[in-house]
Amino acid sequence: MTLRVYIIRRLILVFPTLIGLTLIVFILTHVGGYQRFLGEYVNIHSAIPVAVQEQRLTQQFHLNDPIFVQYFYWLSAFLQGNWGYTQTPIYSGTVLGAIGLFLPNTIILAAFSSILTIIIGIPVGVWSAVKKDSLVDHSTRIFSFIGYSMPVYWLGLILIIAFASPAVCPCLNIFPISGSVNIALTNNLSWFTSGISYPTHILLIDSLIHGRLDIFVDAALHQVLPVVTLTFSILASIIRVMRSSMEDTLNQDYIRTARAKGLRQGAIINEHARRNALIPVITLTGYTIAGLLGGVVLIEAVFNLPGIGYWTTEALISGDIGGIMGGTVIFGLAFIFSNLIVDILYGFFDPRIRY
Amino acid sequence: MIQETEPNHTPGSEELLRVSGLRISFVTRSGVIQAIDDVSFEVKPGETLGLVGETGCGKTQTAISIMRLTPEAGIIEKGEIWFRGTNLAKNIDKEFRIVSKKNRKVLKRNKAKLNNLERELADIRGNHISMVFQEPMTSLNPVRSIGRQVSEVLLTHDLPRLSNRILARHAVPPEALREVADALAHQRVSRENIRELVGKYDIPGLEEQITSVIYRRDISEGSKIQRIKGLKQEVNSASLPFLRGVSAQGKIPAAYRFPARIPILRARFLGLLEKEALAVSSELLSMVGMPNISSVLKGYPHELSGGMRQRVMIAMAIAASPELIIADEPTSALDVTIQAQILQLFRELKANLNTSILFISHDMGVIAEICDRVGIMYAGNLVEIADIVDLFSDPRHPYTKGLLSAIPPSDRKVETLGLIRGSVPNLMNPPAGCRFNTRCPFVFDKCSQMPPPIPVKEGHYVRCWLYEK
Amino acid sequence: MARFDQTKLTLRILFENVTSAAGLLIVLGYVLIAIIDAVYPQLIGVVNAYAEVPDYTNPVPQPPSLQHLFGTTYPGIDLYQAVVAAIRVDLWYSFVIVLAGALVGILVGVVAAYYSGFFDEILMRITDIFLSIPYLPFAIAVGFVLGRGLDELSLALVIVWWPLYARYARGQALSIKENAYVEAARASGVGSWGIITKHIVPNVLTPVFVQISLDLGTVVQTFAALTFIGFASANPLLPELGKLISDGFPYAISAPWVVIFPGVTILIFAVAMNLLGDGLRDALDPRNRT
Repeated sequence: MTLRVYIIRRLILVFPTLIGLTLIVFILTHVGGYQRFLGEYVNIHSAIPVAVQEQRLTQQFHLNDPIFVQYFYWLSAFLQGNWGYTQTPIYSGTVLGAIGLFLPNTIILAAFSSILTIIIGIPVGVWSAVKKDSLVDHSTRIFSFIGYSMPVYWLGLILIIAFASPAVCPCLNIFPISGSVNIALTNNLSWFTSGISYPTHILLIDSLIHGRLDIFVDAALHQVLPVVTLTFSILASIIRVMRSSMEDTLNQDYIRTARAKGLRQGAIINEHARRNALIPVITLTGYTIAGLLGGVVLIEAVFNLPGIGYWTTEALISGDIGGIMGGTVIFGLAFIFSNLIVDILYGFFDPRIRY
Repeated sequence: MIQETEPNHTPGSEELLRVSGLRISFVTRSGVIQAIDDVSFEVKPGETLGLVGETGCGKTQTAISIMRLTPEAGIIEKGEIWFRGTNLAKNIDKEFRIVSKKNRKVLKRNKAKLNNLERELADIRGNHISMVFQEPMTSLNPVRSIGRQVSEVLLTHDLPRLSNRILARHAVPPEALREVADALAHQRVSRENIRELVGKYDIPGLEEQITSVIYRRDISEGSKIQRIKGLKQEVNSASLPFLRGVSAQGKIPAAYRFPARIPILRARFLGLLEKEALAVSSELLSMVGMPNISSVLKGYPHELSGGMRQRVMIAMAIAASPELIIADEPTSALDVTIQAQILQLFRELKANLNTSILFISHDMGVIAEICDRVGIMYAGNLVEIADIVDLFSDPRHPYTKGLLSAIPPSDRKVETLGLIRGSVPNLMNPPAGCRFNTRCPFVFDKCSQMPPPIPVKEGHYVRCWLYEK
Repeated sequence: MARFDQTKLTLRILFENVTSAAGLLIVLGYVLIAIIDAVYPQLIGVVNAYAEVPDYTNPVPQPPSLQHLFGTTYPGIDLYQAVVAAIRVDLWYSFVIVLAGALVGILVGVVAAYYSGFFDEILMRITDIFLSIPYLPFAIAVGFVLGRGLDELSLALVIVWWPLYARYARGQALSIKENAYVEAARASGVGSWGIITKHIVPNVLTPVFVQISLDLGTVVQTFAALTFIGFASANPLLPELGKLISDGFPYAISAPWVVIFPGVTILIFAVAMNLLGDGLRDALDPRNRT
């Protein structure tokens, strides 16, 4: 089959997975009685008394009917955008509103970390396998080993200590260790209120749009430590997988054929080895992305970045089901779609799978 | 002292390849396997030498070692491999060391020393010596198209040929093509005619293009005439100096090194060569009898059967017109009917090209079909070597005799097949002297020393004390 | 007999490799500490293995000294004792989680592979659904719903972890199923369950074992990460490594040791576990066994 057909087939498979995701969320919110569910959908800011709301919700969601019926009504509400309410110290309002507020920050963190990881990880992994057993190889392996053995939030803490503690040299106080921007800079701005910047909600972009380079730089600096920490953690996995895959590839028969054809080492690596070695790496990327998304949660908690992960942890502590559900949905969606892209890439690189 | 270049060796003398005193060992966790011991033979230009033996006798490792493709655990301990005046095994003492570690032997390699030789070897491999491997299923890169993999050989070694072809098509006067088309239409065409014509109009780069069209089996005569007429192709003036530079220097001229790769400009420079390489690949695939060439070129190895993949391997092997092709059991992984086709292909190649072939097999029947001379290997020794007819009619070494008597004859009935008692010795502790002495029915005390090659006839040598003069 | 020799060979190759031997020793060291903690904690200087010992007279975290080897954390808890006692808690929970997850997963995976067809499809779809959510957020969600305690967290992690093993075991079982000896067993009348337990599972176990050893490191980290975020035991003084880091977080800048020591403890265990897992994988690789 051609690549196009493969992509279409793969796209179709997304739908059952999405339904599965909704099922899980549904089960999670309905397990253990209705109280939790009602708690989520009651709007505490509304003038309507809670008891009345609960009555209406029970009717609206058919909470006294069999479970399948409940699922149907819940799903239709869900698809229409009613995701309930969330009430945490950092935000109180609709779940969708919270997502709109927090998602951009998470995207920035995840995006920068992923890009850095790919740019650094793949070449280093290839190089390490090619120069097998050399000093470069050994140091890379040790580095990546420590990287994926280290708790990522602890690394964040160590960096915070390193860059802020008076015990360590104060000359290192260049990177801010908390939050996403210096509050003082953002007072009295028309396009920045209660922690949200307009129009894109992404401070880095909005500051450029409004021509405030100083805010841009400050926000960028605030991202340095979190991104470095997260990248370090994911990079370690990628390097390890890339290296081992490259090593396996170099032992294959067709590499021997390439050598017998008189290709030089450089040509062998570029033409033959790298592409083949990338294939298992791509298949394992799914697992790494899971790690990335989990890491995002931890990093946001450690560095006080107002993103989805931070919201989720706040929800956990304050017992807010709306936040938990919102976080689960977002992370689930992110994972499903990144896996979709990974699968498509895989089909692009490996012609055997399309056959 | 290891010789690097041959002293007193006149160029153009009788041998193309001379292997001398080759000794290869493998260092493993449980011990050192002395896989090949004191193997020597030559391959003359234009001849097909066979290497026969049972599985594990070392024939494959011998062949692989010629191009220095021995796997990681193996080392060449001693020996010389002479090809075109250079000893391809010249750095072995600097490259390997077997070290004793807690009464086990461990291999230490000096990679740096290998790198210098690698440049020379890369020039020879695929270009002057090429190889066809045994497992067609895994020997091709599964994620690169066939066309690309075959073109690769040409783009690595034969750039002037490609640029010459393009330039010839640019420069050829249309009358010349009309003359050829005429000759073809009246069936007055032969290789000599074409050569004459090419000489007359001074278009050397066109010879193989015309020849390949004419000798294709998969298109009609009319189609051929059209193609020949269509060989006149103008080249973009920007590309002309580039192509001329490639033809003159034999590689991409320094000035073009960078620009030739820029995506937009690529089409004018490197792209032209790549397209031409694809065209030559198409001709090569036609030469090896591949059907559906245009779709095969765009396709991938997993779309082809074993026999077709082997044809691709052979096409890659003949692409740069090597002086020697090493074929390592090219038919062993294929069914008998496909085997016959591939063997037929080898016969045709033998007749049409002038390459020497080193043909490895465990099948005496296959060897008999295709080789001019044959060497018999047993447990890492080359025990006998002779002309093919001579070997079959007058085998001397007890092992050879045993081997031949084990083949059921097709012309008469026999009650029992010959049987060689015992089994192949463990090569970690091979017997001292002649390695066949544990099973030989004629063994006597002198057999505990390795006999030298003893000539018994013109070109027929045996390593057996029975024939000591 | 052959299996015993294989095990000996595995151990021999393992020990030849310095790093994996070191890993094994460190892991065993941790296990030893955990056992001592449970049985006779005073041996290694731990007063109470089930609770941190606060000292309200001196609540500000103190740097490491002869009196307090790792220093103290808020409020006056001796960090050395807390960390050593926490090892037992973390190890216990992590082992249980991985083993339970592996057990469930292997069973599901092997059964799915063996029976194939519709049954297999259903099980695999269910597995896919579970695998469509990244493990950390999923564990948070499930743990939250079940109750935010450590036991509920463990259950949540088992629920999140088993699909990985189901996938893995199913893949292994599928290739084993094709092997001749399975057919031979069936031809000689061995029942399905017999085949599953006697032939498929033992051969699946070997590669899965490597996976388990690698996962232990990950689970210890994940467990600690989740307690760091907010899962907590009913007993507020239960020593646990993630909780120690979380408790120390507010004081990290002025008293770095409160987070360094618990973190290093996790790090060393994860490193050792990974070294061991890698070493096991290399030792079991048939290429290295010649």
